[in-house]
Amino acid sequence: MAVSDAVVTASGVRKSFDEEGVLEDVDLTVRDGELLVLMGPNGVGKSVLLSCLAGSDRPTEGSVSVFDEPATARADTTSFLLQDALCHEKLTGRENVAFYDRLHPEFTDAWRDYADRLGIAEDLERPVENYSGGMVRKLELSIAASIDVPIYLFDEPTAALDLPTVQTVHDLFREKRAAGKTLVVASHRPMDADIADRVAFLADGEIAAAGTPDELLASLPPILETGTAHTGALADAIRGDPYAVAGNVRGFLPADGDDPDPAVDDAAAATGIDPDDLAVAEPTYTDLFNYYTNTGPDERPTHNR
Amino acid sequence: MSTETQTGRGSDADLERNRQDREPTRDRDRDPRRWLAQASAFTRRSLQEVHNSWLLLGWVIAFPAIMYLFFVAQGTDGPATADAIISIGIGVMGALFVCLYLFGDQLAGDLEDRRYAAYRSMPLSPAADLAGRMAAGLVLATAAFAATILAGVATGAEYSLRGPESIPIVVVAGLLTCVFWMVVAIPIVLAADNESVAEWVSSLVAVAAFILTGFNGALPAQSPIEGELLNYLPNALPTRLLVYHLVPTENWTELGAAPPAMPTGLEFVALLAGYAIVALVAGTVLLNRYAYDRGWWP
Repeated sequence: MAVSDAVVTASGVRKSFDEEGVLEDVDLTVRDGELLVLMGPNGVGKSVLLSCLAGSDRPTEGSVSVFDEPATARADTTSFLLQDALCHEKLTGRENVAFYDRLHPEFTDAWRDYADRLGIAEDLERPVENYSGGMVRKLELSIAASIDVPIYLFDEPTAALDLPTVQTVHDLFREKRAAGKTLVVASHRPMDADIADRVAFLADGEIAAAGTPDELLASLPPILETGTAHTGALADAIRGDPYAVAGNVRGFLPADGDDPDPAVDDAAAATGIDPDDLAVAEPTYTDLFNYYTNTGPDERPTHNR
Repeated sequence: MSTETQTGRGSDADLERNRQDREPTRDRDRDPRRWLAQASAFTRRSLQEVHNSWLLLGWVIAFPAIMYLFFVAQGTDGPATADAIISIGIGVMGALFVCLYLFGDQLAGDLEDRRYAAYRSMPLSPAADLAGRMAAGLVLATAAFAATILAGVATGAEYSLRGPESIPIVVVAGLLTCVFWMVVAIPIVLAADNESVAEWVSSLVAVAAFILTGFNGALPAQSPIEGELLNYLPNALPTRLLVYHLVPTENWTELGAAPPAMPTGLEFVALLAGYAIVALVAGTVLLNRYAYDRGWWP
C-alpha cells in the first residue's frame, strides 16, 4: 500500500452539486484498525465525504481508494450507515432486518445482540413509520453493524440518541475496533471524540486538522472563560465567536505562547470585564469542536491529515 | 505533528480474516445463490410493502375488478363473450397499472429516500435488483388480472381456451407484457426525480394507453387509432392475443374486436418477446447506469 497501513485514502477530493462545491480539497487517510471521528457542523459535507469513502458517490475531482482500489470497486469491504437511508418505513423493524439479511452476503446474526443492547428488540414487530427518530437510528445501526466487513462508515450514528444509549454505541464501536475493524464515524457531537484514536475536522470544504485527541487539544490556543454575561464584550478580545459551555462563556485568546496571562490582561483591558471574572480554562472536546467550526481558516494552524 | 496512534487490535485470527475479506470478491459477485438471495430480497420486500398496507393492496389488486363491475352494473346488452372481451381489456389495464404505478412507486421511493446511496455501497447485483422487483410486479399484476377475470366469471362472462397451445401463449404474453411495462416505469421515475410526480405520470400513462387504444385494443371501435397498428402496440397486442385465446367466438367484428383482424400467429408472440427483450436491456442499462452508477452494463 502507498501508506504503510492506510486502508482508505482520499486525495484532492472535490465534490460539487449543481456547480455548488461542498468538498473543495479533501485529503484524508484512514489507517488499518483505527477509529477515526470525522467532526464538523451540520451541512459541512461529512455525509458527502463518507459517501465518497463508501463508493456510493464519485468525487467530482480527486480520488478515493479503499485497499488500493477505487472505492466504487470495493463495495464488499465497507458497511455504510447513511442517516435515515437504510430502513423502509412501511416495513416492520424485523422485515427491514430480514431484507438486508438476504441482500448482503456478509450479514450476520449480530443484529439480535445489537437490537437488544440498544433497546429496540421489543419494537421489531412495529412498522418503522411508527418509530421515533432515535429508534430508527438504533435499527439502522443494528443493521449496519451486523455486516461483517473490515471497514465501517457511520454517518451521525449518535444523533437523536439519549446519553445512556450513546455510551452503549461507544461500547459497540470500541468492541469493533478491538476486533481489528476500522471505523470512520461522522459526528457533530463533541462527546464522540472521546472514543477516537484520531479526530479529523472538516471545515470550509477541507480537512482543517487531523490528529489524536490529545494532540489536537494541546494545539488549541489558550481558552478564555468568563461567568459574566458580557459575551458581546468578550467577542472583541478573542478569535472567532464566543460560545457557551456549562453556563459560562468561552473564547480563544489570540496568544499562542506558553504564558497566556498577558493576553488575559489585554482581554480584560479591551473588554472592560473585571480580571477576576476572567480565567484560562482547560480545553475540552467542546472547545476543540468550536475552534475548528467557529474560527476562520486563516486563524487556525495546519495539522497532518 | 506526529499522527501515530494507539489503535485497538484484535487477535491474529481476526486480522487474518480481515486480510481474506480484502481480497477482491468479484467471483463471489457472480455466485448464483447470492444473486437469487438478492433478487428474492427485493421480491419479498416489495410484496411485504403491499401486504402491510390494505389500502395499497386493495388499490392495486381490486381496482380493475371494481372498474369492470361498475361497467357491467351500467347494463350491457351484448353476449357473455362481449363481457369477457371487456374484462380482459380492463384486466390488462389493471396489470399495466401495477407495472407502471406500483413498480415505479417502489423504485421512486428507494431513490427519493436515498436507499440507493446505501445499495451502491454494497456488493449488490443491479440485475438481481431488477429481477426481484419484476418478480413481485408479476405476482401482483397477475393477481390484478385474475381478480378481474374472476369478477367476469361471477357476472356471467364466458371464457374458454382456444386450444392447448393457448395456455403457454397466454402465460408468455402476460409475462412479456409485464416485463415491458415495468421497464417503461424506470425512465419515468428517473426523469420525474420525485415520487409523487412519478406516481401521477405512470398512472396517467396506464389510463391514457387504455383509453386511446379502446380498452387496450379489446374494442378497436372505441379507439381513434385505425388499421393494423393496434396489433403492434405493446399494450393492445397482448390484450388482443389474450382475447383471441381466452374468448370462445369467431364473431370478432360483431363483438367490436375487429377490424383489425385478430393477431393469431406466433409471429405476434415473437414480436412481444422482442419488445420485452429490448425493454429488459434498456431497463438493465438504466438501473446500472443511473441508480447504481456502475457504467452502462453490469
